[in-house]
Amino acid sequence: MHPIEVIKLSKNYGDFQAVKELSFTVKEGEILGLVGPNGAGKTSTLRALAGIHPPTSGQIRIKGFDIREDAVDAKRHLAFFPDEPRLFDYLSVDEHMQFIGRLYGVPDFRSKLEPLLTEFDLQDKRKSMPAELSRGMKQKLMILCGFLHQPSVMIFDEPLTGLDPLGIRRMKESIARRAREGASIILSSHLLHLVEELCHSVLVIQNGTSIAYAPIDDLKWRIAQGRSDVSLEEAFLRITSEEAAATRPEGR
Amino acid sequence: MNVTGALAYVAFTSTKNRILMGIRKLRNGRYLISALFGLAYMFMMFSRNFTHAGRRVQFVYAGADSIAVDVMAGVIFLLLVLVWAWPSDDAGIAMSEAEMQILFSAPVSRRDILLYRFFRSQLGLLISAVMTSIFGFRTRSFTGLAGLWLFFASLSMYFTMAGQLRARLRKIGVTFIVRIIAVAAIIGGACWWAAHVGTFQTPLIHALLFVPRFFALATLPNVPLAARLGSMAFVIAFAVICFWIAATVKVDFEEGSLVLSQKKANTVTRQRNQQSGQWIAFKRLPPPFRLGDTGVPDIAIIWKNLIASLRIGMMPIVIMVAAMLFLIGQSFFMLKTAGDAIGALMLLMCAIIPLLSANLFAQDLRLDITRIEYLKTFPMSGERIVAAEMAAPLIVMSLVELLFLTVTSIYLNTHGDMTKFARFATPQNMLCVFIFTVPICAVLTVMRNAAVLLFPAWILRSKEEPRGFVVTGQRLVVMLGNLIVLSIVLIPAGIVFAPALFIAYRFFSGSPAFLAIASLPPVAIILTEVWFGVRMLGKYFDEFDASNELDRVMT
Repeated sequence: MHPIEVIKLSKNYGDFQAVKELSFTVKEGEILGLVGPNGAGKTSTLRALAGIHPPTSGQIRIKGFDIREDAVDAKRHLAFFPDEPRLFDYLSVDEHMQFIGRLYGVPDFRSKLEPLLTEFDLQDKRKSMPAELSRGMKQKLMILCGFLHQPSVMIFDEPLTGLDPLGIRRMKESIARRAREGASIILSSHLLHLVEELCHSVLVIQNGTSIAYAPIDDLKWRIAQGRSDVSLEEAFLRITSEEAAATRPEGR
Repeated sequence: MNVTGALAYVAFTSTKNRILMGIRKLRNGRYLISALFGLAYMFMMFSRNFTHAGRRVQFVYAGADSIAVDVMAGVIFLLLVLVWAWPSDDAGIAMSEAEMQILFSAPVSRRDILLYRFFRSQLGLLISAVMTSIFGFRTRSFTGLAGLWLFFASLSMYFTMAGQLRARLRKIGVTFIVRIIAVAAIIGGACWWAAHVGTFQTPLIHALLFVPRFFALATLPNVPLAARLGSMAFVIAFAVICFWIAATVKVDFEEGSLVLSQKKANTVTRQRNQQSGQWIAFKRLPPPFRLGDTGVPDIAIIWKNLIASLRIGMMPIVIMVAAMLFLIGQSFFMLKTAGDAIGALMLLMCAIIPLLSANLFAQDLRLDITRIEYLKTFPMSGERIVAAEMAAPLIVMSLVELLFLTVTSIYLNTHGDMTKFARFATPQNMLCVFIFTVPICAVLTVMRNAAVLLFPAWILRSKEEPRGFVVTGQRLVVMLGNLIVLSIVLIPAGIVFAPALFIAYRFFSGSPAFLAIASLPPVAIILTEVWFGVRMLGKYFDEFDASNELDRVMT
């Protein structure tokens, strides 16, 4: 059993099929990069994984718990980091932490809070309200809220949006460290160098369908056909090109 | 296509697309129903205005020199002059953020921007003209409507020109103080002169009202066609001159526009937040209690919403308490005869607080609906999230009502000699009222939260449609739905209350707890209904698909 198991996931919006029978797994300590062009179905997939919207069909298991049938148990192990931070305007940074600490039942969360605040450079902003924070600070607070209960499954949707260079470096280190500690991570991003740097494997989706799913090095090797200088970006562009789409069998 | 053509195209297509988007939404049954309700309401209002038009005093045209024309021209004159006393002198042109980002970085002249704004504002001005024509002048005259529209468009152009010229005046040393003195002198002098000669019919007043008189004749109802058309031609010429001046006067308008647009956006945001109960009035108020690290997570949501109630909803509490204190304070200074009025007012406040506070204290799903995706990641069932979300406003409502009942009871019982209402304020009656208040507040809270979950797009009205008949229809449907549901919910409790009263009378007659005991069965029924409602909403919350419901597809 893997911490994240997705079996034939489909998601429709009315007549529009955003995700079509997507299947993949993420092992303990693995970081899976979810990439694809705009409108490929990445965010729909991530939101279904986080239990935000119900899948139209298929199964999602988080640490063995079905996201629909055992949603509470599944969500207890999960943290979702959206690209757009939606904070509570009426709570300060500190109160956000207290709220999340209690919500997830984090014992002695205050001792865990200090290193996190330092890690994300928010020590001086504890009394600040979200309206007083910059876009990047809000993103950091949202990430901090997600890390507080030490989830074993993490889902990142464009995690670096709005962060400054130092924030980006710290964020990358944080993600890598948490994977080393055993967390299973899905990272969706258009920044392919980030995916290449952090992820162990990659799932490329286009028009809601999986068109490539492999360890990054395997994928690059397959595309490079013996050459060693192919980047993930080049591999991505080749497999999502119109020519590649034309030669691809239906449903792949 | 030249720049002006491109901007006119943008203005036209964005208006057209807004209308088409509205029409497309009608494919959704909920929008269709609200649109039909809204249209029916508008139709009723229009037809009522036309049917009753004869009962009101109508404007009768008695020549271009008549007193009615003079009065209208006088009002317009004041408008035209007062705009020069406006403090702003930075030549700003109010635009949306998107418009500024695109237009200011594009190779377009001020003339093009002014033209764009002119085209962009026409639909709004036409709607204002229709409303004024129907509700103000109660006329169906097409030329009257056209005249009003032209008047609004011309006035808007005049205000823009005045804004540019104020900036030019500042550049040449004419400050705000000088302008305000000049305006005061013109208005004061004109008023003094009119009062002195006792009529508008003097050469000086005629000269001052020369332009406004054309505006008046273009807008007033029942003006002969020839006079109307002549005035409309003058109004068009006036607008063209204003446009030419605004487009050619040498001032920098970019920075002023940025400031003005930001101010406008801030004002709109603040107003929207105030209207939707999201304006944080007291952001430094401390939490009501210290939240422990562990324990049931529901308390965390209640704690969060109580903070929101304190920081957002404190103002209504302050106002209500101030009103209550004012009434009590009055009793010490007023005559005995006023005691009845104060007693009645205090009882009335106790009665309406549960109804009012269900709208005033909306720190539940109504506040958090924009963060519903975040709420859905919480490790709690939908039922528990919904119940916890609603608990805080219910606690606040109950505490406020308890406070008012207590104060009213004490006041009426200690001023028994001043008011006959004291006999209603027995502890038994007050306890009975309070026992009923909590479940009724709970019903009202459940209903309002149900409306948010069932019709989220209605509650989260997009910026493009803050008004209109669809929104009017939505409000009517929600109001009607609330009334129907409340009636249905209270019927079983009402049916049970009669036998409960009879049985309690039989066994507990004479006991101070008689009424409270009789209230328990109906209250139990209402609470059961509330529980059932929360369960249903919880299930709905679990299945809630924000992407579909909020007309968003997030790929």
